[in-house]
Amino acid sequence: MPIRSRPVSTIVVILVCLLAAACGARFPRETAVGAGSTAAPAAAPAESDPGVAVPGEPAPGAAPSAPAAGGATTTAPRTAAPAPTAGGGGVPAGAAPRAAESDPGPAPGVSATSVKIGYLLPITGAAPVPASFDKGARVYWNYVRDQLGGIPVGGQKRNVEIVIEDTQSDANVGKDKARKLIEQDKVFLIVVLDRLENQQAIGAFLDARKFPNIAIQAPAGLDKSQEWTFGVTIDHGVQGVLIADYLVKVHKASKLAVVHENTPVLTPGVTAFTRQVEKLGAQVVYSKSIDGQNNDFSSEALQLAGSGATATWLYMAPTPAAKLANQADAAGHHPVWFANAISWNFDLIFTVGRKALAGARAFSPWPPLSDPRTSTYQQEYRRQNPADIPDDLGIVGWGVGEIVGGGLQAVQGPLGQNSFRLAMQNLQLRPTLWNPLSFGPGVRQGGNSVAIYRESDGRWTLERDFTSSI
Amino acid sequence: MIAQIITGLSSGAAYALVAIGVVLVYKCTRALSIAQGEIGAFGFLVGLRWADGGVPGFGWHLPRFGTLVVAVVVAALIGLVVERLVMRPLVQRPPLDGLIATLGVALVLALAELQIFGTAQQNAPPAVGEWRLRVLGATLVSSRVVAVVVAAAVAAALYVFFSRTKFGLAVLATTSDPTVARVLGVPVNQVYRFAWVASGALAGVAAALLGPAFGGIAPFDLTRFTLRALAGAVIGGLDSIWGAIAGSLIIGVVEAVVGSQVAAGGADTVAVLALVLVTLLLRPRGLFGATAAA
Repeated sequence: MPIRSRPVSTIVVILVCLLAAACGARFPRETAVGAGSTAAPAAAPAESDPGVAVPGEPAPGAAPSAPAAGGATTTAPRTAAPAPTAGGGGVPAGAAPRAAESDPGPAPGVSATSVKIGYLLPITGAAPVPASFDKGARVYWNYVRDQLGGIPVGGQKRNVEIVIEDTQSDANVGKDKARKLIEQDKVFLIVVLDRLENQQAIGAFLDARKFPNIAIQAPAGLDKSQEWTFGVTIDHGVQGVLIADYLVKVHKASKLAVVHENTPVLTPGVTAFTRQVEKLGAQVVYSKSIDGQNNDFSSEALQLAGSGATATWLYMAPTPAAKLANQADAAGHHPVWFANAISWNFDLIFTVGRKALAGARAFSPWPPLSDPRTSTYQQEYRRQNPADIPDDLGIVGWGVGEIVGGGLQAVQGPLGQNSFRLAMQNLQLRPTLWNPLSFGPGVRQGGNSVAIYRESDGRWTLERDFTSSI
Repeated sequence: MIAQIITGLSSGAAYALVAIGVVLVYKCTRALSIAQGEIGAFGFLVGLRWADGGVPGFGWHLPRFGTLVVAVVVAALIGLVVERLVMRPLVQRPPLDGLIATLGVALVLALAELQIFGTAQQNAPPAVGEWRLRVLGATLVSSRVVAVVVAAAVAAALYVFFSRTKFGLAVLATTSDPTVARVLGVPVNQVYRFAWVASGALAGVAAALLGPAFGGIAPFDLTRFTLRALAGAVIGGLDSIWGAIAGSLIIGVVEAVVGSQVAAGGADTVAVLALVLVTLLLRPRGLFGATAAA
């Protein structure tokens, strides 16, 4: 090679590497999980059985909603809890001795008057939530403090302080921020919301440290051994079955399509969906994985138009979903677009895809802003933020606040991470602004019902209230 | 398959708009730039902000076509600033220095977009109207058709510019040897300025057309797009405008055809990377490049 061409070749090789990184090239990683390791487990997808039972209906005899904090109710904890491990307060797996069930465990961030909790949210990065997202969380806890005088925990009313950290849509950053919340901020528990693969990695990291965490998005088949992690939305494998049922039985679709981001954590949902569609006698005529970082989906739009699919599940983040729908619509293709829970079931999506997403449907773990149940939330939002208009993003913070509050209230005896974990493990809860939760021994995902949304006039409206079957 | 090829060609034309700007900068300054995408995106986002919220101080809301004009003007101005403050001091440095510097420019612009315009995707109706063209089974939206026309027109104009105008010859002299060119009275700094302003303007056109065609853009979106356009420029030849167009069209078609035949995500990206590597191995100067060296 001529000497003068070497610099150019070097430059081009670097560019190729940048292109590969920017275009989302992924290489499978296997990380060993051994005793004491805090590494996330390998991201191998679990095959989900479409015939699995769908938990999530409230336990028989559960008390109806009462006007308590957020309208939550709890029943007495079941007695058949598994032998607990001691609350780690951040202690690596295998290091702490297994304590008696009566041991409340450590209580970092807990004082006589308050409990400090952490939130991990993707405020920046590849799949950010809007910056106003944290307002909803603060609105709820300010409401609890100002209107209710605090959460009754162990005979005392306590306020909740929150610390929010940005995961930057990156699992490694999320783990670093989790470490900071545990070791520096000394929070009592952590709420995690992020892309599924990040959620899975961060949740596994926290669980390995025996740190109670609430996973807003629940990866499929969350392992039963993750005793410190509580998923509060529908299992993605279970959801795949429900989506198939909905599109085939309700929309009478005989030809369906699914377009999903190319990440292994979505495979169980896609597999469950495909199997259930075939079981119902319909056909998945187009199934494609895409790079969510792409901009140009004209080829996929063309293929969708040619497939004849009348219903399409876009199993991806809001940004590529809006782009794909817009480009398909511009090419004259307009099926029933469908979003799974916590995907693009926010009104914000219609600011960039109003026409393309007309008539779209979605599953959601919370009721839409137009629902009367959100009235308290909206009133409080306006009271605390007079210059702002309440949005549906804040509903997530409110609903999760109800869950955390419900778990804290259910604690028997002194408050500690272990007693909180036991309370969550047996929690039966009907929040006002979240799907009903039903935990029990070995149940890691307590919320397997969804509300069904329909687009109407550029907003999501409620088509059907929380259900776990179609 | 024909429809996929047509669709791929329209995508390639979109890449070509950005690739031409990259080649123009490289041809004039021997600097490889990956900042074109964010330069254009910033201009487009300013246009959108003024269309939605009104022009500051005037309160007047830009019409649709105004977003394209603002995108071009703002992007050209950014190009001017980048040339003067960032790239001019690096003129005699190895090309890698310029590349790293433009990466920094792209990051700074993207972060500024995040701060000023937010993280949410921004969308607008196409500046050239909403109509479609059906060609051999493929449906092409207005923005993409205009992108094809603009890319061809710009390439033709640049060909005439380099071969028939005095300043164009000055640009060619500068690229051969800037020191000798300066001694001979060629306004070398003007050449650099021209390259960056012209490529910035072209980036503004690209962003204003592609933003609506994609259904919206967000910070960092067009940097990823620029990397693909750069792949097209490498395949076609980094110092050839027509090569940039040809390479971009090839990339667009390969993406569309591979994407339609292989269900696995990322297959089209792998195909593009493979094509780049094969080109580098067999013909480092690209299909139409004159020289392989900087």
